[in-house]
Amino acid sequence: MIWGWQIAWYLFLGGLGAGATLTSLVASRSGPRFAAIERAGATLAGPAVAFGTALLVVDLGMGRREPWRLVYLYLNWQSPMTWGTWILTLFIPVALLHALAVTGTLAPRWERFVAPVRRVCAQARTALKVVAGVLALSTAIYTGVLLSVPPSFPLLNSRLLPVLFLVSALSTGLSAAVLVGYVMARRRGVELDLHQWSRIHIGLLVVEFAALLAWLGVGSASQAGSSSVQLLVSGDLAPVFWLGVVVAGLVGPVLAFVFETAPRGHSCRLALAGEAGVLAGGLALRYLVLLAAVPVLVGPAL
Amino acid sequence: MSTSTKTGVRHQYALVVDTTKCIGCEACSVACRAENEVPDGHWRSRIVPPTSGGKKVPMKWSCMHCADAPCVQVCPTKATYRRPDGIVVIDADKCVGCKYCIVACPYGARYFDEKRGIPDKCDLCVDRVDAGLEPACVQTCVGRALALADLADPKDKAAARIRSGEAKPLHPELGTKPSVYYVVRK
Repeated sequence: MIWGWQIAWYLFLGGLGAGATLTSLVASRSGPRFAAIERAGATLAGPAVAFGTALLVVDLGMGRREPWRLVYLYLNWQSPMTWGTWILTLFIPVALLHALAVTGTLAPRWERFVAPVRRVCAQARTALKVVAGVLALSTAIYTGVLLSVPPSFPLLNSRLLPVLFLVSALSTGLSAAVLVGYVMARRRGVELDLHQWSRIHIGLLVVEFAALLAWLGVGSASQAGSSSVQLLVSGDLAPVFWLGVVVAGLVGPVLAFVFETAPRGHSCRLALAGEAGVLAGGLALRYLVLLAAVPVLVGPAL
Repeated sequence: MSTSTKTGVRHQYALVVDTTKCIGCEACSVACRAENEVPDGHWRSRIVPPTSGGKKVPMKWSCMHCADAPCVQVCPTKATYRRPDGIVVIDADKCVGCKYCIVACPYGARYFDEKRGIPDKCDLCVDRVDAGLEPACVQTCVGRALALADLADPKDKAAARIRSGEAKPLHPELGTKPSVYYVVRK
């Protein structure tokens, strides 16, 4: 696989930003109680996706040297990358406007630059939320579609990969929004009750675990696919897969959230540790998907 | 089928590799490197020894010029395209170097040229073909194991080997409809 760490980070940040937007939308439905999480999710999304996209551009060959060539990226409607270019082009500004619509004012010397835009965004808040939600879902799914379309790597050439990426995007975005929201609220002297989020997250992680199992199970049907699965579960990548994706990213956080939500509650530090584990697991998953890609034609030829 | 702008003749190109005549001398690989100035560490055409019917035969391996090429489908800029005469080429002026085509090619036929910032691959020596010459690999092959076939020409002998089914594509199950055909001893 010629795509390296830049693409792994992009896949991770794209998913995280999309999930953070969707978390923000869910938080806004819980009323002012979780305003900090709504704001954190909305504020994180644009910069996360923009930074990921910048990594994509840095990874380009001629596109980096002659940036005007990037306009050609919008041309081929058959290419998932063209779909993604349109989605990112729309999602990044919409996510930034969404953040303006739901966050409080900045320091006066900065606020004067954004005040007029913020007024319009606040008026169009509902429409912005709908558009941001649709684009966030598109971004989360698209990162999986990008890898799943070509026939060259059987483990990746799977309809379950976009499903796995979507669930992982929701999960990592939720973690980022909760972590940052919690810290921001605490700085204002407010201790957030994270039980509701821990319960949602348990559900997401159970679905993610099922998607991961299904993806590996279906993927191991072909010869190259089963080589990929072996690399992950018992080969060179196994330590990262088991410790990073399974323990830090799935089982550990589920246990942390279960203990946190149990009656006679534990401290929410456990939940925060779980959220951090989810982020590490999400990043590890993106790396491993690229590293475990065994080409369909295995042999001395390739 | 196409109309060549220079000659007004219609062409549909394919490559026939007769492995029963190949001695694995790599003259085609060397001619390709010289003709196309392929950077060190990469190749456009090379000899690989896959197992065929239990026997190991040397096989020339390069871009398969697929009719349903994954590289063409995924290229976001349409820099990679298939000419009407069947040759899959890259427009270096449109490519951004995203490497998606390299990811998408199931035959592993593409490489990234770091110096030029774009991917590259066999283009059947398109400039030579347009000038009425054979690709460098075909011209140099000592055993005449390689032939540029023109499926639009009813009298073309190499094309006849494709039509009769004597020459077959590699891994047709991938569904890309390759235009490189192999003759393998049964």
